Amino acid sequence: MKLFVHNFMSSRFLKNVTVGYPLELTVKQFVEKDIEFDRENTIVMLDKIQYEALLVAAAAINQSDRIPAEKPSKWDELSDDQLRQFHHLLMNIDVIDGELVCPETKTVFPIKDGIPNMLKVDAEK
Amino acid sequence: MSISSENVEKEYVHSIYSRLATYQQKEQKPSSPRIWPRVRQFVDQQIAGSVILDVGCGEAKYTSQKCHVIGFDTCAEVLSSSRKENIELCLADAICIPIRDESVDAVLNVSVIHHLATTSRRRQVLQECARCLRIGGQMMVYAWAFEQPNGKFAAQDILVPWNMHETAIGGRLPKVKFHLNTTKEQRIIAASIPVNISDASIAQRWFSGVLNKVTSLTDQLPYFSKRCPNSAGYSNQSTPTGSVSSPIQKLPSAAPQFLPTTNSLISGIKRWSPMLGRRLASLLVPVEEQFGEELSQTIMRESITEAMATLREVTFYRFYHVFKEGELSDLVDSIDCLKVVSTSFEHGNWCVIAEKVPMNVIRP
Repeated sequence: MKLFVHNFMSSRFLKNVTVGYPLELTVKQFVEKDIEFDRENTIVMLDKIQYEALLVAAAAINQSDRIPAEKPSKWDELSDDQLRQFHHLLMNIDVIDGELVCPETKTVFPIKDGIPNMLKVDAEK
Repeated sequence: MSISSENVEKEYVHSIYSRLATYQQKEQKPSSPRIWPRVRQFVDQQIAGSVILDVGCGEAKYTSQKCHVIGFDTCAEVLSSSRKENIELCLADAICIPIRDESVDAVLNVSVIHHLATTSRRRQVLQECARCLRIGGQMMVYAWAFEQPNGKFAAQDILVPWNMHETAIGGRLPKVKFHLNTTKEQRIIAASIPVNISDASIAQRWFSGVLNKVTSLTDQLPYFSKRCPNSAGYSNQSTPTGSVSSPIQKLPSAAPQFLPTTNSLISGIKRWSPMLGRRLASLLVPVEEQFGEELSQTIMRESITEAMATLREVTFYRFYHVFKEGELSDLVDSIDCLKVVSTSFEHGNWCVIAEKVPMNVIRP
C-alpha cells in the first residue's frame, strides 16, 4: 500500500463511526520504490490530499522532517526539490506490513503483503 | 426455489470466486482476462493524475500509467494472485467502501452489480460509489444484460453454470469467455437456473427454515412407506398415481457436495446460528469432539471437491441478476446525486456512465 492510499481511506463505514479519518497508521515494514517524479502529476495529487493525514503517514515511517508541519499555501510555488519530498512520501513508500486503526473505535485493519484488509466482517469478528 | 439474498451472495458469489481463483493459481499460467473496450476507453479518458477507484476489481485488469488506480475486492485469493504495477490493491466490500467522502475522480463498477441479489443492495453499492466520488467525477457501471445476442435467459435472477471440463481450452484452465465462443455461450445461457431471491427478515427466514425442514422430512416419507407394506398400501390409496413427485426442486450448490450433509435438527440450528447449535449439541457431545467431527467433515468434503475439480468433472454455479434494457440506467438515475450521461450496449452488457452532481440541484 502506497502512502497516498492512506490519505483516501476512512473507517466511516463501521458502526457508530462518524468521521473515521484519518486512520492511525503503524508501519512494521516498507520498501522504497523509485517512481519517476513528475511535477504536474505531483501537484494534481497534492490538490486532492488532506494535509493532516499526510502528516500522520509521514510520522508513521519517521520521515516527518521531509515536509513542512504546516500546509503550504500554494503547491505550484514549491520548488522541484520540495515537491520531490512529497512525491517520495506519497508514491515511493510502499507499506508491506503494518496496521491501519480506526481513530474512533480503535478497530484494527491489518496490512499484509502490501494489501490492507478493510473487510467489515473480518474487523467486527 | 427461493434463497435469501445474503446466502446467495455468500455461497454463489464470494466463496465461488475464492475457489476459482485458487484453481487458477494452481495452474500458474498467465491469464489473459477479457478487457472491455468501453471500460479501457473510460480509464484512458481520465486526466493525468486522477485517482480512480475500481470497485470489485477482481484480477485488477484496468491499470493506468498516468492515473492512480485503487482496486478493491472482497476476494483475497484473487487479489494475491494478481500482483501488478500501476495499481493499489485493498480488501474491501462494495457495500461499505473504506474511502472518505467526495475524494476520488472516477469510479469503475465493472461486472459487480449483477452479483448483488436485491435491488436495495444494488442501490446501496451505487450509493457508496457515489459518496466517494467528487462532484463532477464520473462513474462507469457495467453489468450483464438480459438481452443476449446468442440466447435467452429464463429469468433475471439466475445461477449460471461454469463447467470446468467444458471450458478447458488447449489444456489450460481458462476463464469464462461468454462472448468469444457462441455455442458455449448458448449452452451456458440455456443451462442457467432461475432462482427467487427472498429479502425476508431474520424471523421470517428462521420460520421458513423450519418449514423447509418439515417439508424435507415429509419428502422422505415415500421411502419409508416403500419399506413398510402396510403404509405403502395406504399411500397407494390416497395417491392413485402411486408415486409422489415432490414439487420442491433442490438448487444445485455453488460447488458440488459429494458427501451428504447430516440433516439433523441440531445441524439445522447450527446453520442458522453456529453458536447456539454448538451449545445445544454440547448437551449431547463434548465440545472438543464436536469441533473434531466438524473439522474432519469439512476436510473430507473439501478434498473430494478438490479431487473432482482436478478431474474437471464438476460444475460451479455463480449468481447473476441480468439487467433488462433501461433497468440499469433507471437504477443509477434513482441515486440522488448521480446523473446518467450515457447508456450503451456492448457484447451482451449494459454500460452506463453517470456523473456526480451537487445534491441541492433540483432535478427536472
